[in-house]
Amino acid sequence: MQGQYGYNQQMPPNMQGIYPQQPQGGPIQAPQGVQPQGPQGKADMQAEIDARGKSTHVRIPSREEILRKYSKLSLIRTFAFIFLFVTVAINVFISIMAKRAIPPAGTEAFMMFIMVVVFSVIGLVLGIMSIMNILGKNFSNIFTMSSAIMLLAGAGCSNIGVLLNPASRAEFWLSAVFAFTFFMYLEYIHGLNRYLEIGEMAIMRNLKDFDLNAVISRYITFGFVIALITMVLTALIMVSYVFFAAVTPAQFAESMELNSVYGVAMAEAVIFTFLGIALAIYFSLKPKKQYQKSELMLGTPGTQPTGPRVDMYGQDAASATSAPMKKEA
Amino acid sequence: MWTKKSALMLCLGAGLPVFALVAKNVQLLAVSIFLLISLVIGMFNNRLAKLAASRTLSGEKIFEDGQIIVDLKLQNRGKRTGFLEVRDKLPKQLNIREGSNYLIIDLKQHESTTIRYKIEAPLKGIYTLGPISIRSQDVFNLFYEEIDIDFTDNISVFPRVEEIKEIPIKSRAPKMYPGASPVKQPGPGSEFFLIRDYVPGDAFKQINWKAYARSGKLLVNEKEREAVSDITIVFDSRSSSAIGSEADNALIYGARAAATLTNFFLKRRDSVALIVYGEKLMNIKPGMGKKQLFEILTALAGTRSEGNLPLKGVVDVSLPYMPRKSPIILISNLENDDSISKACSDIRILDFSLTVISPNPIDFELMAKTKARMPIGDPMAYEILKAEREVRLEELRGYGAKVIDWDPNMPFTAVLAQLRA
Repeated sequence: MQGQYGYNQQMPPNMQGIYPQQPQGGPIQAPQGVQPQGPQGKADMQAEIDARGKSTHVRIPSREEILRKYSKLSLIRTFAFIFLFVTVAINVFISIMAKRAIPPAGTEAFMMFIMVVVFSVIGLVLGIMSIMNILGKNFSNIFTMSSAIMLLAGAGCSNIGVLLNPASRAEFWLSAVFAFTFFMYLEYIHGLNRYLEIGEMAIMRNLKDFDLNAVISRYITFGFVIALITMVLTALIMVSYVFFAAVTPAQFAESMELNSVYGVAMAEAVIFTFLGIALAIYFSLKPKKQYQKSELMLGTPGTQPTGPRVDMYGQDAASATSAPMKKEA
Repeated sequence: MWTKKSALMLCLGAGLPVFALVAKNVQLLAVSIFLLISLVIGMFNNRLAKLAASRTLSGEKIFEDGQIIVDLKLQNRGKRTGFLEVRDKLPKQLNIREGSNYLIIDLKQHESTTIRYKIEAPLKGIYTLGPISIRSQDVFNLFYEEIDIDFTDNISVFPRVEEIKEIPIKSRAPKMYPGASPVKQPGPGSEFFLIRDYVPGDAFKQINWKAYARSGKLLVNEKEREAVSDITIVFDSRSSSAIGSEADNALIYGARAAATLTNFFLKRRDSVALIVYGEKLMNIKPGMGKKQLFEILTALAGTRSEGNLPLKGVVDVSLPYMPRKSPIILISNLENDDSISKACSDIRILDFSLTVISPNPIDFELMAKTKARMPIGDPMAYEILKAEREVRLEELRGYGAKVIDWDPNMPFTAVLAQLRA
């Protein structure tokens, strides 16, 4: 608002009668919370502080309240559960498939199988505790990490062994699916906690225009697509040892080492070494972005004494469609 | 930039192959490859959007405890932004009362959004809103890029002004212009002053007919002249004025006092000048009216406690330009300046009337310690400080200055009551 004072301002009520003429350009409103009388002694000062404390007090919404308000968060939670169960199931399933059956009791293989089950179940329980956020945020993070370690330990115990022609084995492909579900489970737990915090902030600050559900929808869709692409690429890298077999001498190409887990590891090492070199060259040659700042005018001149001014970021030239703003003296 | 999550993933992705080979396990290898591929995709799945930003303020100049509504409009001028965190950086002295200066957005092409929030400024000062910090991240929050749009706005927060009714401070050598201060001289004014004999040339309406009926000779009413006084406020913003807490110190309280006095005198149609001294000397020339009020308020808003100019130097430079016999109001905590006595003595010798309003720095310090729940320490030390301060104040009183020791727990209106007493 622009009053007779020549610029935008607010005056406390006790100053509105200083001059005989009241502003014609719009009422000068007293700002809320003005304390024209100052602190009236210690007791009043304390009362003022208390009053401010009350006015700034914001109730922290419960987790369930946030989940109710932003329904897509529940979807993330559901997906986290699904991927956790699938991860555990694949873990156990691969272990069974590796031996073609549940090993007989008392054997070393049986002990390994039991360890797979035990680690997987512990990972499952910890994962559920993490998703349900039973003991609070900090413990949730600890549970997530512990759960991931347990699931990986379970995977490590399901000794697939030195496979001959591993690409022909179902557990080989299931491993790629396991990587996908394991990653998605961790990602959804992380996403859930991240968006819960944002939802909490949005409720505490009463952000009415903030559409968290739209952001989450994009996160779920886009994230899933990216993860699927990643899984396909993972599978391609895993079978790329076949390429090495084709281009190397028969003695090496037909060796047991290349046609086993070592071949997959070698493929990974070679590909990521070259990828690392390529990325290093790319990022060193990539020109740094030059962000230019310019002033634009978007509003109607005169309606707002102070603006709006616009700074363009990432644009080379100012808009030619509008005149520059004249700032009031 | 890498996040903690991506760093963890890299460690896991690099370490798992070792375990995989030891355990002869393809599963762990698959997880390792998946994590590394995710990192590579994440690197290229993160871009900063082209955004146009504009900020509209409901006001640029407010008083302490006033509120401003900020509308930050963002328009996407490029492709879809993806996950974008936007934060309008604010100084810590400003409180957010409604809304938020932080948001996560996902804008489609040419889509725009507005972040609206309300800030409250409890302390005087000139504050800068912005720059706008924009951080983009990939979908899995593995990498982020951050940039500041250097787009700022300044707001001025004037010191709080209190309503006061009367202060017995006026010049003994008023100006000839009609003003509002009765100066105990006959002249144009509104209040009755005396009755004198009629002399040819007096206006007919001035004749007091009742007195004529009683005494039998023509007598006329004379009004008391109301004139303009020149008031000079000397405000101490040296580094010692920051003694106390951020919200309770001589600088903040003194600025409120100076603003209140300026408002009162200008309302009385006096002429007010302001001298602020700290690191350097700032002088607002005498003036009247609303323009002068806001010049002084702006100057007070911009004061910061820094420097250590001696008052004697300030007085030596400024006194020759001050109207003679005019009142000078010194607002200072009188700390860390050995030249104060000499300066006050010089002011009085040159026949200026001097009023010293001194916010008590010892009380400010004690208040700050109490609020911070710090131990007060040896009370004897404070007793000695108080005694020294009392001696200093008595010395100034000895020069004929009116000295007010301002207990910060007292409102300024009560302090002025001491002046009237």
